[in-house]
Amino acid sequence: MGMTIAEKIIARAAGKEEVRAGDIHTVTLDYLMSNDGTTHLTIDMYNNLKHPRIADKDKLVWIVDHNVPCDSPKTAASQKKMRDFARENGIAFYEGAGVCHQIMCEKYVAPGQLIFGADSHTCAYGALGAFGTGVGCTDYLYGMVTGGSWVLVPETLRFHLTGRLRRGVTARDLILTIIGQIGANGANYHAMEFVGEGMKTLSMSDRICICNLCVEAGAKTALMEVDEVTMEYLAAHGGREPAACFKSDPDAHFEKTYDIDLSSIEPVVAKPHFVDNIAPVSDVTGVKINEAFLGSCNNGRIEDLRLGASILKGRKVADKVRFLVVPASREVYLEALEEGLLDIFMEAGAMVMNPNCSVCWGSCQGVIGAGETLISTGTRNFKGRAGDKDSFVYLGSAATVTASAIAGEIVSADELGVL
Amino acid sequence: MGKVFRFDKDVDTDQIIASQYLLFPTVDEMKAHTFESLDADFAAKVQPGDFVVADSNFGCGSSREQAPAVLKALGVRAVLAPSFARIFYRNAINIGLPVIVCDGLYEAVKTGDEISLDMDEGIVTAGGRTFSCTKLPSHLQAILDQGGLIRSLDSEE
Repeated sequence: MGMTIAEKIIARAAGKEEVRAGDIHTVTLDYLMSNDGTTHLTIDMYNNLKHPRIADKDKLVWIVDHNVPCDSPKTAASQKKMRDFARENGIAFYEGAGVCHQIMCEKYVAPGQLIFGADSHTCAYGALGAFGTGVGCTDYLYGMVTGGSWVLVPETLRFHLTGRLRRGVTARDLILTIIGQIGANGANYHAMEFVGEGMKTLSMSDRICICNLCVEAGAKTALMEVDEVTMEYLAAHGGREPAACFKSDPDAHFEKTYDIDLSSIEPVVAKPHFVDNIAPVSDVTGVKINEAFLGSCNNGRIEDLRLGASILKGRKVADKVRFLVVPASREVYLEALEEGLLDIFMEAGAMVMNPNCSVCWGSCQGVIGAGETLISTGTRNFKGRAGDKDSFVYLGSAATVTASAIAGEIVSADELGVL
Repeated sequence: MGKVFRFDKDVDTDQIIASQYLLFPTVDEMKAHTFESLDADFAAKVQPGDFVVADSNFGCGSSREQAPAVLKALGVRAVLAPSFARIFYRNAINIGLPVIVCDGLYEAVKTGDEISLDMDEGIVTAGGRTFSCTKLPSHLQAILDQGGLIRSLDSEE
């Protein structure tokens, strides 16, 4: 029997000819990414080891993105610990350069790699044909010390895409629709693999958006095949070479296969307080908003800013609405600056912020108060995720978020007539 | 015996410990805020040896290890649910917090009930009824038995 992409990547990392879903294997990791959400605790644990040691510092990438610039003395102490340790140990370190997953995609991830990230959205790296998976700081520390870890080989759910998304419908609408269909634990412990003719119509930005959000269905990782789009992206970002380009074998085992016609997807939102609480935007049209957020590792790339700016150009952000625009990395920020997109946002009354996780994780800029409502391209809408426990978060596409910022209430770009 | 604190399905790690506390220097400084959005007094009420019982997909969302860590720091004996989100599950085992897959218990108990757990036999007793739990895979049981993954790093030399 053949193997899936997930099985092939783990086989490579385990130095085996063949692995099967359900097996547990010891693996060598290609990279270990960690951010300021947990690294201070990892360092404390490291310092308490009897024999602290780093297997290979060149595999470690540390990124301050969650609370940057820092906003309190306690946070400053935690970040200083991280900064000092990285410098003392020669670990690649970024601060204020962007959201961790965006930096990893721009500078590190290559097809065929197995990467642990101390952040759940590490599954984004599947867009580049790599097996990325989120871990906690203990797993991270174990990998940092030994260079490896253990993994349970996951079963795969396969999503076969055909057709093309209609105008005004985005990859965000697609992945939210899928999460709504399979549920918040519909892919728990599984890999989600995306294939088919429809993949050719999706840009690298679309692909990162799709893979990034798969953890909201519980997925261990998300995976896509390497094609021209992948190779062009790698060539434009330092010319990284793939470690290996894998496709699932025709006789590989898939626990389930879903067929999705991209042209059937509608603009949707995730309603409070669960990412699988999906409804067409038309169901919630007219819900008043206090804040709109365009950014995050999910939708803060140049393509998202172009879409937002194209809708906002010549229009204004509604009175009493705060519209936060947060490029996902310095590269994206500079590109948006060059293209004049930031002028459009600023002239319309938006706040353009430095690259960071922003309100997506509710402990950076732009948190909302009790009774307030946010429409967001962030990753989650859990109770209190964006600030007060009695606030409300709707998740939608860059188009829906921008249209809503103009209208002051939730509306699709199509319905507002701004496409 | 320990008291039950009962939660519904899809409890995400933001509810267990919210983002604004994650960069506090230590877990001990975070733990007073455990389950703050769902039960503001949880940290004051819970006693060492008590249990968290929940419906399916407990611990979904973020990979923050602070979530199992605050529960362990407060002395929670074990978390029992019909299913767990995978990162939370792995993190809990890694730090030595028992997470136990147990069907039917959530429906049978309420907050404040007294239950007991026999880890070796995988049996929960609640109000005269017994519930059998799914055994951990041997690889994970070994990590839990040695007190978490970090212990193995110290013993590997």
